[in-house]
Amino acid sequence: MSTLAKIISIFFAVIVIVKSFLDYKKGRESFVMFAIWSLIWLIVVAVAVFPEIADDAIRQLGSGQVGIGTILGIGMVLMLYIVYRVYTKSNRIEYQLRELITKVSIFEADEKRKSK
Amino acid sequence: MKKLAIIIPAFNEERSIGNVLASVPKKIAGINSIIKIVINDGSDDQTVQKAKKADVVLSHPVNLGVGAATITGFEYAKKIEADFVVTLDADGQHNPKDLAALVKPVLSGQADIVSGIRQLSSKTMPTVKRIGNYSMNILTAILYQTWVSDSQTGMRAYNKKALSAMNLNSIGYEICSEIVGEIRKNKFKYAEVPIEVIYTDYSRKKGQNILNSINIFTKLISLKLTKK
Repeated sequence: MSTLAKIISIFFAVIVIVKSFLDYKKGRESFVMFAIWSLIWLIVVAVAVFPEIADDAIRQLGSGQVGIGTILGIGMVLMLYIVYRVYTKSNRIEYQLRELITKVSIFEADEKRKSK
Repeated sequence: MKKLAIIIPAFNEERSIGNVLASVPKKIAGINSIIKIVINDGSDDQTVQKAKKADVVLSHPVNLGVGAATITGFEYAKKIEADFVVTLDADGQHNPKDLAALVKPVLSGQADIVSGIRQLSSKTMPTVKRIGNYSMNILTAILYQTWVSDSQTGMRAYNKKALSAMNLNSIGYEICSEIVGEIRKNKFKYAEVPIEVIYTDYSRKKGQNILNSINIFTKLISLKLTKK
């Protein structure tokens, strides 16, 4: 895998792990999820630094083309980053939406009761 | 002065909500005041208009799910300082005559949470629902290491201690299993009471089946991983 791919992988891995750690510290994320994301991204970095892991896997699947591991590696890094962002955001938004709707419905019922 | 809040989450239940509210007993031994709370979960039919016999109607502006509606009901019950809470399905499958037996263990201090247990072996329960409920019992036990006879029952009673200690996050049907997890986590005293289930063509169409068990289980795994 090229140096560029290694730099990109490590760059995104650092972003995700640091962000996940900060979310965990702020109580926005559980320790289990922080550990899972960290593990996934450490594997990504390992594949980036030692691309023979991915190349071996591709060869096992029947392709003899050298370098396909690099392409797949970059694709996987970007995909995992997107999944991470979507997952954490949607989870948080769902929780906040539920809280907001609960508060609004109770507030409205109280207002209706007061106006009677 | 013992106050009981009856929480009825409802989504498009115009056909049954009126009868459910009308059949709630006016008096229950040991209870001084009964407050019927309907949580309209973004219905687009006449559910609110048909819920005239409710003491309070809380309306979600959009449909979220039975879990979210139940949590709204719990929050309101805490606000009005209810001593006990009962949840009831709005589709008419529960017999409100079972309420007295359901609340008895929480009233006497024997239990913090009581589940109304449907007879899963009963032939009146549609096969698809029966398999779905059995599957969810097993999956709930795997996830929360707690075996209960009917993990997906919507008829449960809670005391004040349980109400304030539970930390619930579920939006949908997975709330039933999440509550089982809370029993173990908070070391609640737990009891089960058999209840009658009234299956009509209408109530058969509602609720859970084997197909949405897979969806519930996926959500439960996500919940288990992300719950703080």
